[in-house]
Amino acid sequence: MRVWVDGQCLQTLSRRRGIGRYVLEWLRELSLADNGVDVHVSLNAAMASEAIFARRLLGGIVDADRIHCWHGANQSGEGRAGMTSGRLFSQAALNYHVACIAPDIAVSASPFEGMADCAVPYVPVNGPTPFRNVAIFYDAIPHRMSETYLASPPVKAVYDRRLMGLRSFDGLLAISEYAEREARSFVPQIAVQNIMAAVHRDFESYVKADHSGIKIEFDRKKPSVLYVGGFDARKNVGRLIEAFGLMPANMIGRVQFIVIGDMDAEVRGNLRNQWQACGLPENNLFLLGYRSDLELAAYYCVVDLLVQPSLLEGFGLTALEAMTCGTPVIASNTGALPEVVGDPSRLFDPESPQDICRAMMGDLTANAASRAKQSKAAKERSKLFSWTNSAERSVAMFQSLLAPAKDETHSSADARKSAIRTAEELKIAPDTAALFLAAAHTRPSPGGRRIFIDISATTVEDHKTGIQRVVKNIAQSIGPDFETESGTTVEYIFLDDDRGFFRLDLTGAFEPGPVEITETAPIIFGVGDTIIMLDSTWAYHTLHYGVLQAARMRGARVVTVLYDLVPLMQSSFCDPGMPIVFNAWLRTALKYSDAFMCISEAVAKELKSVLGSVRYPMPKLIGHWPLGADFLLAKEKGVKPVRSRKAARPMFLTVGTVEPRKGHATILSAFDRLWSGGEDVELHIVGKIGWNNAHVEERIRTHKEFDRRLFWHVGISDTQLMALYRDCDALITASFAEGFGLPIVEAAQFGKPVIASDIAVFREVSKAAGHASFFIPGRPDELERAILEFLEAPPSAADLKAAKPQWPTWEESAKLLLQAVEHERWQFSHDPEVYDPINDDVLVWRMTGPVENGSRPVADLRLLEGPFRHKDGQRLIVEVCNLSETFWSSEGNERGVYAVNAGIRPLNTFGDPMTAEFPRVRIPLVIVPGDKVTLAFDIDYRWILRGAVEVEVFLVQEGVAYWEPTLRVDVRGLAELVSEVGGTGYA
Amino acid sequence: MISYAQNFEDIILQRALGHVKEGAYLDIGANDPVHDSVSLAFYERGWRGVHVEPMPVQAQALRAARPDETVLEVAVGTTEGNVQLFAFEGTGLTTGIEAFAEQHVSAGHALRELSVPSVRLSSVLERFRDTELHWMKIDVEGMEADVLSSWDASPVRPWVLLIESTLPNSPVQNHEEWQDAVFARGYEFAYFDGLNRFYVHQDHRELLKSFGPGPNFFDKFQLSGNSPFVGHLREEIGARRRETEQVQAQLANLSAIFQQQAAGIAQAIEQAREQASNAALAGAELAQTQAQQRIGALELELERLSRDQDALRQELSQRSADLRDVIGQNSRLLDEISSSRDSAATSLAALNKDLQRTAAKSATLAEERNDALERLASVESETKKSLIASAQERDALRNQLQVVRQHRAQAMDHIEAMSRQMEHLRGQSQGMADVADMAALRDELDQLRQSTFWRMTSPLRWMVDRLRRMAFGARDVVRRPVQPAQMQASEPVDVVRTEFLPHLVDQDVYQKVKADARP
Repeated sequence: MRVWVDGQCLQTLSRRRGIGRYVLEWLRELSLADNGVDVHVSLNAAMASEAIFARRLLGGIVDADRIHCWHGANQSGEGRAGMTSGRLFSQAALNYHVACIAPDIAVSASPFEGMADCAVPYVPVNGPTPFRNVAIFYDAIPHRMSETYLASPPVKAVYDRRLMGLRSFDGLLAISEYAEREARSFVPQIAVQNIMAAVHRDFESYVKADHSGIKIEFDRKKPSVLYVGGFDARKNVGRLIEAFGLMPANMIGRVQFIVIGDMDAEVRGNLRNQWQACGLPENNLFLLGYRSDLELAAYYCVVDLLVQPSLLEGFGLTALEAMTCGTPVIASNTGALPEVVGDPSRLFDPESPQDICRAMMGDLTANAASRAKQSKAAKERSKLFSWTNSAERSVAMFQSLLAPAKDETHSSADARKSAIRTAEELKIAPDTAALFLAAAHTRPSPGGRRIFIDISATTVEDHKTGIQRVVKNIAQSIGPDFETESGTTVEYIFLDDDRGFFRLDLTGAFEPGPVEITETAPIIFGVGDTIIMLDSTWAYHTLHYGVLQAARMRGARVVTVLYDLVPLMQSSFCDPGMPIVFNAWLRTALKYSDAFMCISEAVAKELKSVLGSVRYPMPKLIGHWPLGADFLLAKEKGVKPVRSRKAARPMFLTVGTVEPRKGHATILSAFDRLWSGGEDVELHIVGKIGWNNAHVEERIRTHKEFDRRLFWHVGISDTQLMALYRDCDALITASFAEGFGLPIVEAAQFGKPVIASDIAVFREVSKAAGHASFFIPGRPDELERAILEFLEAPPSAADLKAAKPQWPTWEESAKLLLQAVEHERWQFSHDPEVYDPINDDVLVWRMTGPVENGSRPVADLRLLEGPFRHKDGQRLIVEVCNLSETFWSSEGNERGVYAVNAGIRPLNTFGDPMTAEFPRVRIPLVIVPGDKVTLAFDIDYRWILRGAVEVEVFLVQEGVAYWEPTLRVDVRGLAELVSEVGGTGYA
Repeated sequence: MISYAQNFEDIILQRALGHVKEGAYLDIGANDPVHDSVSLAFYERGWRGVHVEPMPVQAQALRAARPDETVLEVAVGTTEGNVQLFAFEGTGLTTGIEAFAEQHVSAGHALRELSVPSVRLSSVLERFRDTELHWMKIDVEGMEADVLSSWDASPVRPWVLLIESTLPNSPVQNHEEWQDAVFARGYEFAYFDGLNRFYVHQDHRELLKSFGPGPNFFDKFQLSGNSPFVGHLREEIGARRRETEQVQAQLANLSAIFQQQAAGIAQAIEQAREQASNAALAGAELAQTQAQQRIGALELELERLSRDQDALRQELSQRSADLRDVIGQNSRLLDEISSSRDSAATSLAALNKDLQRTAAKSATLAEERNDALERLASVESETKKSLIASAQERDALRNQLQVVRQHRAQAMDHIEAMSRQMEHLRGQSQGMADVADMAALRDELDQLRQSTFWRMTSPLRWMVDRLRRMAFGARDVVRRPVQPAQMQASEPVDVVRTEFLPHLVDQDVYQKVKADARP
């Protein structure tokens, strides 16, 4: 029997409420039990993040290729906008979608969705169908308490319309006898079956689990009463508190009230006020707020009594949970509670505090024997409720509906015609209607497993960047028609507009000439597909979002390769536009990726730490794999020594573009100290002049040791570079930030020791080297010490030889990447406590309160470089370390309060600030606790003109505080530079 | 000691009760934990007590400042259930916002009504049943009599009572109203300080000797900085601070000139923006009102249709009842026939006629019933049609709204453009933008391109696009013709496609369905 279930209640806010939990548990039993039922579920692609979330929820319950998508056409909720054209048409499209799946039974799992959101719950609109239609009925509480829930006439009209819409179904599944009675009163002509409800399938295990690690916050020697649930008026907690106030004086002093449930400050305040106003002692009230299921089970087990005073419930799950724990329960005599609790003597009138008090006192004053009896009875009765039972009752209902065979001949084509007719009536253009109906049409999943690798940016234009070198090496190592051992195919794909991805013929992909695409339809991804976003995608990420989210909705996975987070963490070393672009890319990539594959463990850990610190609300898998290095494959024989004479003095090499991030200034200062201290050492710099580093270039060119003991090789060949590696005594690398460390791998292949700045990625890559020592980045004295130690006790040749490194070739690297992706080998994962598809990035990066760190300072500032010449100005590079326990970002609340910014201002001879306003420097993404970022600060020449003696760099939390300590830098030396040009800038 | 109270009440009480270590008080109408607080001087000496304060903001402040004391957020009196109070909206935030609130008071809408539980004094005093209560203050803005009436039969007797005995903000005394109730509970009058009256319970008559002189040198007190009695000093300090600020302002005059210029431009733009947005808003509101009126009319129409439907239904049921009646008559007639066979011969012809007539009538009735059923069906289909029509009409109205919104957006764009112009002006005034900058920017771009690090991380799209057309010559992409799945321009407003839709669509299926859909 094929059963189709409308899954939209797993996408809307219902997913967090009782209905979502009910449908999921019911589906689990219906789908997994051996009952001949083949379950299909469909999701609405108009709510994309939520559809992907729901797919995850359904994992292990419904087969991936039995989860389908259709696309609703409307944008608004029916309670807000009424029955719009879009909604009418969406209903028709969904009917066509269900007809395509051709089930025996179609289930509308939550027929009241879409009041405030764009969900369009399934309701048959085309008259008789070849299959039977069933809806689940929970309760009619909004109708019964319409003053509370349906105060707005349009909402009431929609609710009533939905209620009457139940007439279009062949049968209803009610969750309790009470719900069954209610259903009959509204639609007497429809068959109704009570299928009951049950506790979560893991609840039993929570009850039996070891509770010793859970702190019970009240006094177990005194009587205790528990309430679990919400706090709106229907829940009636106010009268329960009044009932406490009516207890005899000797009980009032002792009885403790424990309250569990999501509560904000307002709810807390109200409960506390009510409690006090009834003359009850404050320390007997325990407002515990939200508790996990395990903690909840522990509390159920230790309290004397659970009270469920709600005015009306469709079922009454908390009562059943407590009974499962053997906890005595008393409850209201309304709604479904009597059938859950069973014994009429345990019921009370929820409108009467006196009656609630009577019922509580009866239990609290009972003797031990009668309590034990009560506990046993509760446990016994709870066994009547199980999901197995609910699923069996549902299947029985389905079978009874199928028994009398009907003879309609409606097919999916009829449903399509009817939908097209609806579109015509609504004046929706035929092409538009066709688009939505084509999306509603289901097709089989592609079958087999496929990996697709995006190489678009490199295909269009080769900038010879580091990322593009990786792309080309991987693509050349794993050719087309490659299959992994387990038969997964690998294909290369291309996208440069909003039409989607197309297959790319790899032969000649990186040769000059036009890129030819022969396919006329883009790839439709599905279950079994993995897309690896290997190329740099900053330019295209807005295009990627639609196509990749659609692929994920259809069951594909997306893995994004992450090269580094430097533009966000070390923004001072980048072009000013880069952090903004990179930030936008990262936020989109976080939304569309299931996993991130990083090029080093350090980058992977950094990403994990950022996501953890901002409590990113979606889970992410994080892995890393080694890049390849084929350097040694080239022959090094016959290469002439670089040095004309065989100098005896020790020779050090540094390789990398001369730009601020690489720390050349630190190396030069260290060698100045060595040379002036009489050390006879030689320094070779390999690398061209890079972005924004004129002051270092000038310093090298005018150095008195230039071309004597200080050499700069620009534009040398690979062969010459190999000779330098071979002849040097050690490699020095002084970067402030890197995603990888290729020179270290290369030096290691020549068996050379390494002296490196102490950053995580260098520690990691240096494991391959025979010998490595480290120094604090940006500290010439530390580097000097490391070199002197090296000169004093150089590592033995034997040591270096023993550690001949095994670094993967590009082909090995490419295969490692594919294996890791195919077999899900992820070293880390980000698993948020709260998984919420709606809040994905709106709230989490914002700061919501003051940063505090007791009396200790929250921040540490350190001058890395400067002041140095930068364009027409003077610049400082400052390292900022977060010593607090919360992340910092420059996003505050809606008025900007709580944002953390850095600032710089001039000080006069008395050390007083000379301006009230100051330029702010934003944090590009976040600074996580314990982490450091570098920021750049520009010194305004007008401050110097007005006689500034120092500038002060500091952090400010907007609207809260300026943070001590600050960093002060002497700027008197800049005065000459300014006066020379008469106040228009620095000389 | 430091005195915080408004009128030296804490000094007088301290004189009488200073010998008590760690005593207890009950402060009804406690107000702020510092400002004019009678209890703070005692709190600082280790006393602890209970505060009654119905205003949420002040109660919150009290809880925060006195975490180890009890704060009851209630009103005291004889009222049953809740009492209504008025609070100033927005007070209790920062001083800046308080000033804001004052503006609202003058505009006449800053009062907020709130409802708080009311409890009887006796129930509050109950907390001191087993301990001593050394003083109780009542300052409830004229409600003293009501508070005292709710003392009931409680046996608790504070040693000293301190009750505000003048009408709010005036020197007129009002203690006649309630003083008898105090005497009746065994208190003797001790002292009047111009604002409050002090009473001592007869069990502690020895305290009476401490009262008499007003606060004086021998009380050895100092005033807190908040006291109105040091207002002149506060002003003096303020003046000094302002002088300092003036000096600083002069120092910063260069930037101030720039700011003035900018402010002038900003003001002009603000005016323009206001004009533009007023005009746009007025248009939008008018359109919205019209839209609402038309929706209202449509709803009336719908209501009328449903009334008609009801009437038809009623008529149908009436006809059905008639039919039942006729059938009943018929059977009665048959009964008569069987019971009176002898008269049958004579009346048979007549009866037959009757029978025929009835049969004809029932046929007509059945026809009428069918007719009614058909009409019901047509009304139902009309209802459905009008549902669709109203959906369309609503869409059309939304379309209009959309147009109005677009107008508004254009106005906003205009404002934005003006803002940009302002930015530009400001930039010019600061001598920032000149031709040389352009050259420098271009140089920087070239440098940027040479940096391998930038290459690692930075093929920006705008850069790619521009460079493609320049020296670097990006490659062309050649495609076979691809038919993109597109939506038409004018659609009902609530038909919305997302960026995901085209990627869920199989081209073949789309073409097939499109062929079906085209008329």
